[in-house]
Amino acid sequence: MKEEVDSPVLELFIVSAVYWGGILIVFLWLGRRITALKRQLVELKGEGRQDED
Amino acid sequence: MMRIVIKPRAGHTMQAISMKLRDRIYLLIATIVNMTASYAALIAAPSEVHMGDLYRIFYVHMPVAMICYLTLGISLLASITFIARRDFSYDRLAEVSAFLGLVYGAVVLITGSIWANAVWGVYWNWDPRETTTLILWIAYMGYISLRLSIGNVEKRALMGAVYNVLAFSTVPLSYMSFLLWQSLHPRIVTGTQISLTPPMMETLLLNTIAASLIYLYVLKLTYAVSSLEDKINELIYERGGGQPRA
Repeated sequence: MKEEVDSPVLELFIVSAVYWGGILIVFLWLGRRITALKRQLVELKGEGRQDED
Repeated sequence: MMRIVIKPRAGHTMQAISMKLRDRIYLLIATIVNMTASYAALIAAPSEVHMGDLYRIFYVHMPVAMICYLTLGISLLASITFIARRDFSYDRLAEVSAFLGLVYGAVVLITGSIWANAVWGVYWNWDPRETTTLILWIAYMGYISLRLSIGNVEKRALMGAVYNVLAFSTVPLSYMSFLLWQSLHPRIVTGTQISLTPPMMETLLLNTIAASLIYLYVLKLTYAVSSLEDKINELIYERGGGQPRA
């Protein structure tokens, strides 16, 4: 084991960045995916109604 | 290009607004709890005797590890329920929970490596806990890969569920690795004793609640994405556009 760790500020920053960065990326990706899928669903339903008419 | 507009019904609009409001209130509470938890972890909690302030990494690492095990447990239960009932909503829950297990598992491995480098001087030293957690992660990568490689919906769900039950054996292996082999990994619970002071325990609890609030919302969003993909694939399939993906 290392005798002492001088300043763990960098380690704490990196660990926080990994966690919050990971959460942020997942949130952004899910948000964009939901928007795109909802749009696609509306378009598909619209096409279906046009076909019925 | 012609624009297609579908007017939503009044009842649906009200329901959507109420759901959005509920989501916003939930997110506001989650944000406040997370900010308080971060303050407690980084500033308010006392330093540890041997590691000093470096020990604060623990308040991120441990809750994320617990959520990783929790989400893989949910995935296992969903797979068992799918095998028993053949209800595809459980298969979907199993898949999204396993996917989140991979995300949280990756965060556990990365934060653990950073902590290990600061304390032991190396990022990776094949410690039993590190190794078994990596095995767990690879096993669930296998689960996602297996699902992606099978086109038939029923076959994919059933084979995925059986694989998931087998893959879960890596979770107790990872959790109990330091009981089976000698490990440098710190032990918080030894027998009936917990090696944390009350303020440390409170900070850990607060951070676990905070991380769980975020996890539940992410799980809800991931499930919503999976449901929408299913609906779209069903619509495409009904119109003769080929076999549905999910």
